[in-house]
Amino acid sequence: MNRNTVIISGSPKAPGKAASDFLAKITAEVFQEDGSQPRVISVRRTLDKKYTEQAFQEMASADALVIIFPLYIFCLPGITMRFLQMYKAYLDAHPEAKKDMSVYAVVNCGFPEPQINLEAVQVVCRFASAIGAGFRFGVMIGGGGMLNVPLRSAKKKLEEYRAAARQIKTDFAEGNRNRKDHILIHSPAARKWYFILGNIGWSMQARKFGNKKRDLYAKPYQPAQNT
Amino acid sequence: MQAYILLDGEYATPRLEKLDELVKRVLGQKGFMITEKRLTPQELDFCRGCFGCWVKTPGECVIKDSMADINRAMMNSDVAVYLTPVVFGQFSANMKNALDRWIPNILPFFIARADGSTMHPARYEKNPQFVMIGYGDGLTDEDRELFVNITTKHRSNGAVLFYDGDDQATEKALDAVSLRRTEGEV
Repeated sequence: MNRNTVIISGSPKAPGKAASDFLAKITAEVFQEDGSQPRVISVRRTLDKKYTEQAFQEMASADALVIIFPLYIFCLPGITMRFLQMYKAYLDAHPEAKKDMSVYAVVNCGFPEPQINLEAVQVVCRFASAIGAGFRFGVMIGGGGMLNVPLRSAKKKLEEYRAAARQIKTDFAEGNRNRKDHILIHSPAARKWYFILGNIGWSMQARKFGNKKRDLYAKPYQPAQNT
Repeated sequence: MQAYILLDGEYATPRLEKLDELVKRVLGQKGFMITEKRLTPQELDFCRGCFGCWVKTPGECVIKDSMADINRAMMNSDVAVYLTPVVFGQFSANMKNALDRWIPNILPFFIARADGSTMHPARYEKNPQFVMIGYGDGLTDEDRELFVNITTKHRSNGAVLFYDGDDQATEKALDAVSLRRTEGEV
């Protein structure tokens, strides 16, 4: 069976600094366990370097797309949408390139609850439908930015993600008969601690730029007179 | 009263032009002063997820393009109307860049909503009422439901309408929305 898989990292962050890049790397490692050689495409690098034609050719020839991205305002980031819109336009201009493929979504959010990613997964499902592909399922991750920190709980969650990536691989390998429901991975930190540590973290980051906690409450666009 | 209209010039279809005229007419009749911004294709850089707007220059995006003017005008308006194409059930890339880069107007900290889910607090005591009017050819019920959920499920001050070319229906729907600044969380 042809196992031509393309893994897309849709993070807007500089390549290498994003949780989505990290998850793409882990996903690729999981696919490589049985000798597959998935191609990993960084949306930001592709758009910055204007490699879209090459990237879209690779995507169009794939049997499976695994689209990994961070949740921005409860759906896909603008840059990821730009990339998918451009890919749809590419396929519209090259109808001969369309083929059956399976699409999977991996969404990580900065809030602890993974369920908040549901609508973003559904957007990927609508995208798959628009390009004539088959959507399979999503992996929804809470506190995604913590998966690569050196904590025991994070390592445990990372293993959960590896298991989820194996489910994607198995689902694909078995001809998409396996799984239909989404996979949820909860934040490595309990909600209470996520809030406490997160809120301390913002103040610590501010200090690097010479700002104190009170500076974070600035109101530069405060109306002169409230209406 | 001040209204700010943001629309996507990349999808400047006849339907958008008709919708734009309709919204301006209705808001004008209600006594609003209107400022309109038509985003040109790829006018806005995308949010880079750096959080500089929260920790480096709190309240202001570190990217220097027209988004600073958009945010300032929007936060000084009573109502912010997005005329947005619905693509794959969400905002088009152009409009999504504008939404992603609206986050300087909220605070970085985590708090819990009344329903227990996580949110960021509002930066300002008052915010414009947001009205998202989606349009597009052949929108399915699934597209609409998804767009409504994305816009309203996790925020407090957003109203969603759709425009299918029926001016009367959209005018009636717009009449039903409270077009006043909101207090509290967004």
